[in-house]
Parts: sequence; structure tokens; C-alpha cells
Amino acid sequence: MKHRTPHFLEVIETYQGIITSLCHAYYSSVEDRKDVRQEIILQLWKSFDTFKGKSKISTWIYRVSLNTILSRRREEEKRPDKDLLTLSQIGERGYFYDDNDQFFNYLLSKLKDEDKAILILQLEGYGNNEIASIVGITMSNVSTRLHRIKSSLREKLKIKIHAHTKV
Amino acid sequence: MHIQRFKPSWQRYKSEAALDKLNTADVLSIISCKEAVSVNRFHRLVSGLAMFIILMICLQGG
Repeated sequence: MKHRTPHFLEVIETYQGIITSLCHAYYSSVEDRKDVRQEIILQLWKSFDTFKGKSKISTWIYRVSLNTILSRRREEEKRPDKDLLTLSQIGERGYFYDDNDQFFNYLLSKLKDEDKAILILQLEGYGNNEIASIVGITMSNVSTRLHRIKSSLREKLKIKIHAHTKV
Repeated sequence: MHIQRFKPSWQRYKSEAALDKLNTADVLSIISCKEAVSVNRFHRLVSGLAMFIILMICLQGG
């Protein structure tokens, strides 16, 4: 532990932006964010010795963090009090947004969990094969989902523009 | 529809999230909790095993 602790702290210090942004993307409550961040750090700590450096550290952090978050979300989805909007419902409830950032934030909060992971990794510049390996799905599944995300976004953007022109 | 149009928004989103900083002491307390739990589990396992061995010796002796 003595030797690996300073190295681990250094890694977390350098890459904590990835962890916090993912926690923010999946959880709105401060308490939930804290809990999940703690869980991610524990998972990273547990698997720190097994990280062989075959991939970039940032890729390993994305993989562990997203796996932790997605497993946790799957557990939470089983709860009966779950009330999540899906992407298909956006627009139907009459939301519209002042700028791209607000629109993006809203879309991010309403995307399905795995689709959100795919969108984030795509925005981080990962290729489909890397995304497939990080999220743990097939490459064709990534392509299909990306296509679906793009179509849905295109639709919602049309609704957004339409709402703006009506105002 | 280019997803990349949202890249600047994602960068700004990340910058905002980065304000929620985690300091070294927080990380240390998280990982030391984990170590403490592991040590406790190990101690419990060892003492349980020792009790079992002693009990077996006593039973066989009786």
C-alpha cells in the first residue's frame, strides 16, 4: 500500500475531472454524486494493481467509472419509485432552451444510461471500437445506438427550433 | 446531425463539474476505509478459523 498510495493519489488528482463530470452527468443530487464518486474511487483503488498500462490511464478511468455508475443505475432502476424521462419524451412536454449548452445539459440528463455513456465517450474522441470495449457492448451495437441518438437529437432539435420560431 | 456540435457544451459541462474538487485527504479517507474493512474481514476470518480448530481439538479430546 505504501508504494502505490502516492501514485494512486497522483492519478486521481490528475484525472478527477473525468470522475466528477461523469458523476454530474448521471446524478443531480449532491449526496448521490458524493456516494457514487466514493464508490468509483474504491473500485479504482481495488483495480489499480491490475492496470497494466495497455490502455491510456484516462481510458481505464472511464471504463471503471462508467461500469460502476451503470451497475449502480441498473440497481436503482429496479426500485419502484423510479421516475425518469426518456429522450423520446423530450419536446412532448413543451421544453425549449435558450442556447446549445442548456439544450445539451437537458438532453444529457434525459438520455438512457448507456446511450449517455456512448455520447460522452464520442465527445471525448473515442472511436466506436474503444467505446464498445469501455461500455462492454458490441461495435455494431455502438453504431446502432449512435445512429439512434443522432436521429433523436435531430428530431428534438427540430422541435426546439420550431418552438423558438413560434415564440 | 453532428454530435460533435455539442463538444464545446460538453467541455464547459466538464469545467463546471471540475469545480466540485476532491482533495487528497478525501481520497485517503476513502481508501483507508477500504483497507480497514479488508483488515477487519481478515482478522475475523483468522479468529473464526482459530476458534474452529480449538473447538475441534476439544471435541476430539473429549
